[in-house]
Amino acid sequence: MTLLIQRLLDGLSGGAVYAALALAIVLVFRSTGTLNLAQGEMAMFTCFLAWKLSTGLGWPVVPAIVVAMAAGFAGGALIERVVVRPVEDRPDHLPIIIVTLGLMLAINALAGGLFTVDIVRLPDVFPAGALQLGGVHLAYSTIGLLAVLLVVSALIWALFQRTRIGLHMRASVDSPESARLVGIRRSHMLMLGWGIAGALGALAAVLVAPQTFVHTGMLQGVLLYAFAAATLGGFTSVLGAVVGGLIVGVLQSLAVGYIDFIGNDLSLLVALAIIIAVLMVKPNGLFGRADSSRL
Amino acid sequence: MIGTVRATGALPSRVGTRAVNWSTAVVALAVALALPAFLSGFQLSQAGSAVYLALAVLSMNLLTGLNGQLSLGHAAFVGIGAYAVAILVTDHGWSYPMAFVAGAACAAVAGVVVALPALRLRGLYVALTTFGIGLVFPSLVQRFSSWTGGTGGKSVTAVYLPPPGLGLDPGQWAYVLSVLILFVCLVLVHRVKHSRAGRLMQAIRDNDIVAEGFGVVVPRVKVATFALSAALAGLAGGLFTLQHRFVSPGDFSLNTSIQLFVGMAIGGSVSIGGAVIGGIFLQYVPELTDRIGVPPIYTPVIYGAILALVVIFASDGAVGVWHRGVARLRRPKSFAVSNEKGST
Repeated sequence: MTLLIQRLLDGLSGGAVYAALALAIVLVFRSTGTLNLAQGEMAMFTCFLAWKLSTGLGWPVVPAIVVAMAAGFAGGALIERVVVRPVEDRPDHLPIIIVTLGLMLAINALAGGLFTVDIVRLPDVFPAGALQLGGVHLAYSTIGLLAVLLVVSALIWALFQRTRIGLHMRASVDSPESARLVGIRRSHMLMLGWGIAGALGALAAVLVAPQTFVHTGMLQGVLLYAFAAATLGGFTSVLGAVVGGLIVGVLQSLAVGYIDFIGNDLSLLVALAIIIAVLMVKPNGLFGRADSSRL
Repeated sequence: MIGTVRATGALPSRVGTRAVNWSTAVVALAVALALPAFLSGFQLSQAGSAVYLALAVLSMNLLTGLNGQLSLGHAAFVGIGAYAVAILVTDHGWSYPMAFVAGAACAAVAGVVVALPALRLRGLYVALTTFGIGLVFPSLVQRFSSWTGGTGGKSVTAVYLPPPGLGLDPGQWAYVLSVLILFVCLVLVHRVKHSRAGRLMQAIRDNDIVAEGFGVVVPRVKVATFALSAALAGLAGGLFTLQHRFVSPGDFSLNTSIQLFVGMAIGGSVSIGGAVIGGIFLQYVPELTDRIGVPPIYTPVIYGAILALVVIFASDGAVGVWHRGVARLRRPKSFAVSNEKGST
């Protein structure tokens, strides 16, 4: 029983990271209607930046993370402006995906070239150690991760539902022409969406860094889990991304723990299986809107 | 263009170029088959890699260029074919030709399993599931290391002996056979493209809702296309095993999938001959950039930049640029107008 509870808790802490990256994916999807395949690599790059600041220049880790998130914001907005904007008006979304695929390749190589191809370590944000509750360890990092996730998702929700800017962002996605007619700069809203996604990705990366360490491939697997989380949550919903992330984290922890066939080698297969299962059973996910099309 | 094509009206008329294309194809085939007489063993193995890459790129052209679907994990299907052939000829004593067929079939089945749930739906889901298989494949190899040899790779001891009387050594024979198989596949895809099935595929690419309105069973055509594409990719994997007689998971990673994508974009996704250009590009350009002083670690940056630039500025790839250039030279004024005015 304690083992089960332990695995559930471990799953939640992993799930918090997936949820953060899934939030970034959902933001891009809601603002541009497509997937950003480079989301993970952008986040990895900013994580290296935080590492450089903290170990190379001796900064404390929290300011380093703040700078990394700011860089993530700037990077996301810049990428939207420079490479996504030219293909944004094409009738289908394939060009954008392909451009982000190119970015994925390029950013990965750049990170290896500019920083290092070795595996390095970012100092922990949260204190080591754990609360002992019965036989269960509740690590401080788990509490910290969940708290950060809660605050971040509340802020995103408030941004979209309670502020003028959020209203403008929603309007420019739901009804681009009308939004433009009432004076909303759609292009600024898209840049803002990509920027926030970049910052969220950076946050997810530094949060997962204590487990994966920092290297050029650190987020490839995490990105697949985040895709699974976004699929389960329904791609259009902020709440869905958070709930989906936590569920995916728990499912991964349970599958790796209890299914011998999967073990640690095949934990990525869990993410793929979740994606396929959701597509077969409930393609719009738990909280997504139905997809409709017209000529 | 990747995904959607600009109207063929901008290209020279089809009747006019067909004869040219066929003669180009036959000359290219003759040149490719003559290469073993001139190249060293190492150079020939590089040329062989270009051939297998061209077949892999061709499989993506069929999927993306003709049908508008996106596969981000095609290297996994290449890998499935490669490993199937390696395991069958080494551990089960199969002959290479039989193993090729089985490898292509395995890849097709895997393709359908992964793609089927996504293909029922519109939109980007197939990008997700194929991204997943592309990422998972190397860890599957590791999980089943008793069959596959794990991360260390698997050596293939069986050699496909050339038929006596041709005077070829096994390396040359592997190359010649690869060229012939690639040629047959190019012709096959060409025939498919201009058949009724091919027109259905292209109709779905251009507008799936209209296609559905005209009674096309969209998911069925998509799944069939995906299966054929994965089978060709599996066959490319078989050629890989035939040439290298060694397989390891690193050859079929997500990065390889993305590189195949770059090859497709370079050649032009709607062009069948473009696949050959893509294969040659993928094999020789890294070497070239290395020689002009770009550190190998930055080669992917060039690839990524090329991918973005091609999509933004020249979405029909090298073959499209060539056609447009030729058309412009031939008739500078009526360029925009017509199809009928006749290039001869």
